[in-house]
Amino acid sequence: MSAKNYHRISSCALTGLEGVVVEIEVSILPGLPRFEVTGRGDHAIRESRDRVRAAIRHSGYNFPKGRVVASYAPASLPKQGSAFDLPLALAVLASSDQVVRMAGTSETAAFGELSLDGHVRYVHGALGRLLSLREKGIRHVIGPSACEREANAVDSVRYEGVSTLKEAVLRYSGVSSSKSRAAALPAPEAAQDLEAADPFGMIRGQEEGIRACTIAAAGWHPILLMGAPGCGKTSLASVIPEILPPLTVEESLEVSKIYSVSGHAPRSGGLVKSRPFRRTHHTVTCSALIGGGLIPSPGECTLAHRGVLFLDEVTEIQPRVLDALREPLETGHIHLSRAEWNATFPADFLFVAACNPCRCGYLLEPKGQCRCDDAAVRRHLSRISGPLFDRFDLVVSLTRVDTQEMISIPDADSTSSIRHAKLTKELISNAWAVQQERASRRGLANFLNAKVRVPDPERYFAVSDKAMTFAADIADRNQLSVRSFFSMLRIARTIADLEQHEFIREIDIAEASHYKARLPFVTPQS
Amino acid sequence: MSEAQLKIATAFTRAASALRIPHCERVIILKKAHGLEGLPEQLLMIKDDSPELDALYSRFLTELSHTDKFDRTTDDHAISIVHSDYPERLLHTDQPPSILFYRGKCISSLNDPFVITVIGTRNPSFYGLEVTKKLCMEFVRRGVTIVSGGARGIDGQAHGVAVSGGSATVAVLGCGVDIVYPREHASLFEQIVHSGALVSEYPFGTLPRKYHFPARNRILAGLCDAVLVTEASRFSGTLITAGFAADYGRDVCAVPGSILSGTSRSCHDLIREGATIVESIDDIPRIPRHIIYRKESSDTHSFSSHCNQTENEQNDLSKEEECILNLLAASPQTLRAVSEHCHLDLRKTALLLTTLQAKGLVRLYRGLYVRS
Repeated sequence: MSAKNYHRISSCALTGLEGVVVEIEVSILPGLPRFEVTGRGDHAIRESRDRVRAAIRHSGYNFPKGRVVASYAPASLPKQGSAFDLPLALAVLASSDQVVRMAGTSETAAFGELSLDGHVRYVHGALGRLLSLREKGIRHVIGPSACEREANAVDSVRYEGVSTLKEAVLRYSGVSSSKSRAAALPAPEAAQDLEAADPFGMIRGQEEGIRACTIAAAGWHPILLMGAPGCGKTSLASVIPEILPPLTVEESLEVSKIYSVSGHAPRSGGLVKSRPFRRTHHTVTCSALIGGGLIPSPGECTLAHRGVLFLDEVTEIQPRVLDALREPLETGHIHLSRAEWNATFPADFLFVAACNPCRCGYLLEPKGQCRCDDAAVRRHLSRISGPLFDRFDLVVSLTRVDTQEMISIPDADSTSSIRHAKLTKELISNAWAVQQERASRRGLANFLNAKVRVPDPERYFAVSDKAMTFAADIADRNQLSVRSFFSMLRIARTIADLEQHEFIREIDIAEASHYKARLPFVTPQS
Repeated sequence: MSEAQLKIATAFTRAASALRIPHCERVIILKKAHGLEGLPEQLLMIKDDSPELDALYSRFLTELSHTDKFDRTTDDHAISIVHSDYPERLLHTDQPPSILFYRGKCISSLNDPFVITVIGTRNPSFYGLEVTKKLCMEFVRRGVTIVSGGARGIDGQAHGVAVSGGSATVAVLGCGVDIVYPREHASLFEQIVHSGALVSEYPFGTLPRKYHFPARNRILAGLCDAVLVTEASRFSGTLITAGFAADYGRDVCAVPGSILSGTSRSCHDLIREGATIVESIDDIPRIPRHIIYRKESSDTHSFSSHCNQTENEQNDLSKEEECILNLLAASPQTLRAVSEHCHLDLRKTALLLTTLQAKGLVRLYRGLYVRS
């Protein structure tokens, strides 16, 4: 593999959520001492020459004399970041015969950033890199030891974490670490103290809101919380990821890959164990929300994959940005096309939005403090376009909790609140199980009620005849669109699933219709 | 009404307002011309009397050539001050409009023995809307013609109740009667045209302007026997109308409101200054104590029978439903407030509210449940 004055090593670059295998070639040519790097690298890659030169010196090796040329292939792909420092240093050392690989060693890839004194630093995206290297048939990878826990999740790849360039040279030449891999790792499971935490502890009153959030979590229904300032919309929203069933192993790997590649991996290393909860400021831009950039990078939607995307003050977000959410809400992924690239990002998130019902915020308060006229209310809410509003399965009006209730709750036994939370979690995971079973009978992949696509929802959702006439009645009276009508049936199905009822009854429809209330400013002609 | 007369009326009004000729002078010209038919000759005859009149005549001719632009329906009319159908009450005000434009079958209902003007804020509270509805329903049952300004809020509510009761109602607008302002009242205006009329002193195609509305208010006050203010906060424009009404010797009546919300401040000011306080329509002085029978009485009958029907339905309600209705009659409420007050769980309450909505006893008002 290594000819005189020439060496080739594999590494991995990141574009979007995918890794691309990059081959780094180093050749030492006769001539004046120079170090050149070619192959569409960014600033970090050009600066890597100095880091590599210093790291080689400080590790006790010699930087080869003569003209050193490094080439990154494929040359057409723009590359960025400092992860190529380590493979470049290894290739330079190998081409100058300072590293000799044992005969018969399998192909080895490397990635990692070097410090000037020869230490190997953490780089993000270890999981994504390893997965794509595995796809290419590379079974031995050398990388920063800080990425070890993350890399641990990928099986059938031998990952060797190193902390210095010297160590990396040893591993690359074929000398294995003396300590076994398992011993090197601390127990990965963080203490599950989530059980003890009380998700409802922050909330005073708001039974209606808790109920709606429970339904949203049980059926993956997009939900809009509407209420006066300070009534607890944000606390309610942050409860939702806590009461959702935990991530499955595949989901966890999927989410971890996204997080690892986008540089959001948990500080502790290892996999993402809890459901993501993403919230952004309302000045969010389109590409920050759905993804984009010169090199494709995922947006908040994708970071919230399998978790909750919470948009507070949704009426303050630019309408154009908000409407970009319509496609992922429908399909569960985002397909982006730019002149230079195409990318598809997963974006199957539970959409939770919150806003004030009017400019002053007090529209829904029964005491009638609101002085906004109908036109002002309409102007305020028209920031949410009709089609997007239609996609909210649940629209919940919240009112402020009165002082009596606010001070009376802390006296109550806090264990009962925890028990209540536990019960809710149980109800939700049971409802998920019921939905999964129903979907498996039909062979559907998306089993949650909000995502089920079947040609005969009435039969699939098991609506009793009486309930169906009842629902049709409501739809007529409220002039529901077809989409709203079926979303009402979906919610009713989720409610019935929470109660473990086989058929949808009238009471389920009635509750569902309550969350399908029309915009507050629409007053039917009397 | 012939189209020629409509054109003459439009051209004359436009020319006169462009030259700022006051209504009293226009009235003199119209009286001499004996109505709209004789107006062109009359203008020709007097055009040499003064340079102003000469300008008026030439302006009149140019306007006349421009009057084909607007779509007219068969319901469109213009009526001059010398016409026998011209509302009689208006004659006894200063500055009566020389020509009234209207869209509708007839405005003879404005010459009924008793006419009420109902006005109030454009931004009403629930209380204001309910009060207006209650009182207007009583007017409808008694066959009293309701005049209002066609604006959002109280005005719209008053017209709406009259229209759904099949009673005649007249909207006095601050723009041409072919202009729908506010836009959300398009369907309401259509219904008003069927049972009553849209009236304006401004010719067809005139857009609403801020200064039109105070002038419009003098017609509102002039057309009626009594002005009823159902809800108005401080600095409300209804005070202008009430002021005109007091000047013309009409009865000014006001409905008191809550002192907590401050939405009835102007009503209270009016009462303080001597307006009649109104709890039911019998508090209004000079209101006829018996039902005025009119041709449309069959419609009125069906309306009142409809009311009886709702009352009958109420009798076979469960205890819980009655509890809900009693609560909602007082003020709009959320689902949670209802469930707490009636000691029911959320699901049961939602079911009851939905069935009550189906029966038409409950509806949503600005996101809250109310008694309908």
